[in-house]
Amino acid sequence: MSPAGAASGLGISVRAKRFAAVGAAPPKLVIKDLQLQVPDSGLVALFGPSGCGKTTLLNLIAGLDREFEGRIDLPADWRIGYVFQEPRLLPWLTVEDNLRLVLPDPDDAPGKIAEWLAAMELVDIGKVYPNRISLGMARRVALARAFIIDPDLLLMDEPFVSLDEPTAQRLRTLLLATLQAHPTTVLFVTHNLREAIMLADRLVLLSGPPSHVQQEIAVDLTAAERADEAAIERFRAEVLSQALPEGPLR
Amino acid sequence: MAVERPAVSRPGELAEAAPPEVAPIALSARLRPALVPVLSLAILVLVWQLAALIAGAPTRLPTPGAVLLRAYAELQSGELAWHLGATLLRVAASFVLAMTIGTVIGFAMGRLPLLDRFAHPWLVFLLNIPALVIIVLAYIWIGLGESALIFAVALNKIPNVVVTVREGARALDRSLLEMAASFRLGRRKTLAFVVLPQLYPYLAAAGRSGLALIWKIVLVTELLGRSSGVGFKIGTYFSLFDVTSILAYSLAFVVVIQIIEWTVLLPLERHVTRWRR
Ligand SMILES: Nc1ncnc2c1ncn2[C@@H]1O[C@H](COP(=O)(O)OP(=O)(O)OP(=O)(O)O)[C@@H](O)[C@H]1O
Ligand SMILES: [Mg+2]
Repeated sequence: MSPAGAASGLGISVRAKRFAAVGAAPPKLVIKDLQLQVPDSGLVALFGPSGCGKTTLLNLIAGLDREFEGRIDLPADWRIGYVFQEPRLLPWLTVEDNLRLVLPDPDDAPGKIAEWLAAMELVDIGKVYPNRISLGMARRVALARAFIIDPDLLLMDEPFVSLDEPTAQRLRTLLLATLQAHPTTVLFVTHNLREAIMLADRLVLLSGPPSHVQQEIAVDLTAAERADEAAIERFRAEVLSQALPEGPLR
Repeated sequence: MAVERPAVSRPGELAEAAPPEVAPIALSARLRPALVPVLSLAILVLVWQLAALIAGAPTRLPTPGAVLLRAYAELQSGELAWHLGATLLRVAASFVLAMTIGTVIGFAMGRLPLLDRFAHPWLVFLLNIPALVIIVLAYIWIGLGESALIFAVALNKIPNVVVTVREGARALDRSLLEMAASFRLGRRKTLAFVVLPQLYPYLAAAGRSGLALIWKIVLVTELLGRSSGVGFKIGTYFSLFDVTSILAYSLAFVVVIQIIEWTVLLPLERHVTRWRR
C-alpha cells in the first residue's frame, strides 16, 4: 500500500473528511489536516470532545468509509480488530457463534472461544443470544471478538465504558497482558485520562471540530508504574499541567 | 452510527410491502387458546349443516357429510390424489420460481438506487396487470403447457415478492454491515449470517402471502388451459353443476395447504426467529 521503503505501522494523513448535506442539515467538515503516525506495536490513546470526529476517524482507518481526502497507510495484510462504540453483535447468533463467525479457521475455534470467554468472565453465557445479556456483557463479547482474531491493528472506541470499575480494571490488565504476549498496534478512544495513562504509550489530544491533532504527550511509564495508582496519579497531574488550553483536557 | 435513509416517498409508490410479521403467536401458548379455532370451525360446520337441511336442495347445497363422503370416494378411486398432486407440484414450482427471482430482483433494487429507479415503472406495470391477462397471454405466446402455467403464475407473484424484499434490503442495518466489512467476513459469510437473517421476516411475509395467492392463481390457470389438477376438476364439475364434488375438491385442497402452513412454514418461521425475546 505504502510506497517502497515507507515506515511500517499506521500512517494517517487526512486532509479533509466531510459529510454531505442531508435534508436540512448543512454539509459538515469533521476532520481537517489530521496527521498521526502510530509505529508498529504502538499504543495510542485518542482524546477529544464528544462529536469531534473520533469515531469517524476510526472508520476511515478501518476502511469502512473511503470518501475523504488524504490517505491511510497500513500493510495490506493487516487484520483489524474493531471494538465499535456500540457492541454490534449479531442478535440471531449466540455469543459463541458471534465469536466463531469472525474466526477464519473453524478448526481452532472451540479452544479459542473457550479461552476468550473465560478471559472476559463470560463462560456461562456462551450459548445465550445477545439480547438476553446486559450491555456490559455485550461489550465484553465485542472485546473478545476483536481479540480473538489475533489482530495486527486493534481499534477500540471507548472500550471500557458501562462496566463497573473493578471489572474494567481487570480487563485493562488483561489487555496489557495480551499485548505483552502478542504485540499489536492499538489505537483507542477514551475520555478517561487515568485509563489512557495506564494503557497507552502516547496520548493524542484532538481538538475541533473540525478535528486535528492539538498535542501529543508521551507516556514513559514502566510496567510496574502502570500498575501503581499513585504513579498514575502523579503522571496525571503532570499531563494536566502540560495540556494546552482549549484542548480536550482543559 | 447507523444512518437513516431519508424516507423519500415517490409518486406511484404502491403501499404493497406488507409489514414483516413479528414472531408468530400461534401455538406458542398451546392449550386453551388452541381450543378457540377448533370451536369456531365446529360452529362453521354446524351452520353449514343447518343451512343445508333448511335449504333442502342437496344438489345445490350438500351437507358436510355428503361432501366428506364424496371426497372419500374420490380418494378411493385415486382421482383426488392424482389431481391434488398435479396442482401441488405446480404450486411448488411456481412458488420456488417466484420467491427466487423476486428475492434476487427485490434485493438488487433495494441496494442499488439507480436500478430501483429504472425498474420501478416495470414493477408498477406488472403489479397492475390482472392475473387473467398474464395467464391468457402466456398460454397464447408459450402454448398450453406446464411451462406456460408455471411462468404465468410466477409472474403474477414476483412483483409482490420484489416489493416486500426490496423493503427488507433497504432496511438492512448499516452498522452490522460495517462490522462484517471490518472483520473481513467475505461475501459468503456476510450474506448467510448478516444479510439473510435480516431479510427472513420479509421473506416469511412474502412466502406466506405468496402461497395463498399462488394456489388460487394455479387453480384458475388449470381451469383455463390444463387437463389435470384441482382447477381442471372444478371446471369439469362446474359444467355438470356438481356442487358436492366441487366442494370436496376445494376442501381437500384447503386442508392440504393448511397442513403445509402448519408443518412447514410456521415451524420454519419460528426457527429463524427463535433468538427474539
Ligand atoms: N454519517 C454521518 N453523516 C453526517 N454527519 C455525521 C455522520 N457521522 C458522524 N457525523 C457527524 O460528525 C461529527 C463527528 O462524529 P463522531 O461520531 O465521529 O464523533 P465522536 O468524536 O466519536 O463523538 P463521541 O465522543 O460522542 O462518540 C458529529 O458532529 C456528527 O454529527
Ligand atoms: Mg464516537
